Amino acid sequence: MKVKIIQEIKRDNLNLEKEIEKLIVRRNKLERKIERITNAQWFKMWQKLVVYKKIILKLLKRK
Amino acid sequence: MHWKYFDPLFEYEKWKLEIDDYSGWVGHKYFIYDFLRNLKPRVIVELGTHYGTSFFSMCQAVKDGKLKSSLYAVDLWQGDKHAGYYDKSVLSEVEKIASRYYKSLKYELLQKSFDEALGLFPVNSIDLLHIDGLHTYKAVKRDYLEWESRVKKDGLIILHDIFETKDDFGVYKLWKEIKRKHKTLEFHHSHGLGIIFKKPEKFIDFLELEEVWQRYYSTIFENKVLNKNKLLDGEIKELIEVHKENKDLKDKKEIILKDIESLNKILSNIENAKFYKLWHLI
Repeated sequence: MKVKIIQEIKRDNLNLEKEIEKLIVRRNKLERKIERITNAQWFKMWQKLVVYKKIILKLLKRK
Repeated sequence: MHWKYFDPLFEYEKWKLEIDDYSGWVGHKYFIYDFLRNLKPRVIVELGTHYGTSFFSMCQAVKDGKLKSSLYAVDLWQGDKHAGYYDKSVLSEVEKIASRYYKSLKYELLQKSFDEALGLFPVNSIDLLHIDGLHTYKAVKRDYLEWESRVKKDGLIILHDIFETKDDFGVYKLWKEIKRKHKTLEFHHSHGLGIIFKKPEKFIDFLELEEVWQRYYSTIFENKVLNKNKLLDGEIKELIEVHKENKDLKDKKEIILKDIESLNKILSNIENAKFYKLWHLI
């Protein structure tokens, strides 16, 4: 007869595996979404603008 | 940190006198051996040594693991009403066993009362304290209260006989009180052994193992010491394996949850940016 505690832990392991599978799907979706945004034209423009803004602010401070 | 299980040979068992026959501690020697090999405490003090089953089991772990531990055994070696009274021959045997098998270690046999020995150990100086003196409630509580401050803030205290209720044994009463205040771990076999973790967060991985350890070490005791050979070795191995798998899965889940949390943060930073909103308006 199997020890009760082993069966309980095995059941817990199965549940954990299922949970992990779902979490991996969720993580992949988020990664894809972020990738889509960061590859978009507007995002690249925005990043450039942020850099320009910093440079301009520095220049203004010098003056 | 993963707990490693050892399969030790206790050299002191070779001594002609079968010292384990005199000890109610024998059921915990495989546990204390693994405990020391895994946690490597530097300063170990034992209050109440008698023939030394626990002390020599610890010495064996220190010797095999080449640990830099110092071991101190405190006992008057006169006996008491629970252990029975005895003559000088017991200390003489203990000294011979220690020098025969554990000569290379840093150990001291302190033939003193616990009160006399207390002054030798500064506050916060002991990593592992094992209390196994007189077992009345009053005596063990006094030992515990007096010596507790000597144990480091992240140290450990072990009490034996926590489930012994015969005569005027009273460790079980103190154990109930301690359990209400501290994080503990306990074994039920061999009169019971309790471990108090002063800083439990340091040992969180091990605290989860309580049920596995209870099963494993009581079976090891029955198989190896009582020779009952219950043929549970396969089950023990399976239990350890599924528990390890459980721990790994929990760790994995934790990592993925953290990933998701940080990805969500990145996404919300982008979505809250003015430019993002503006762009989507256009």
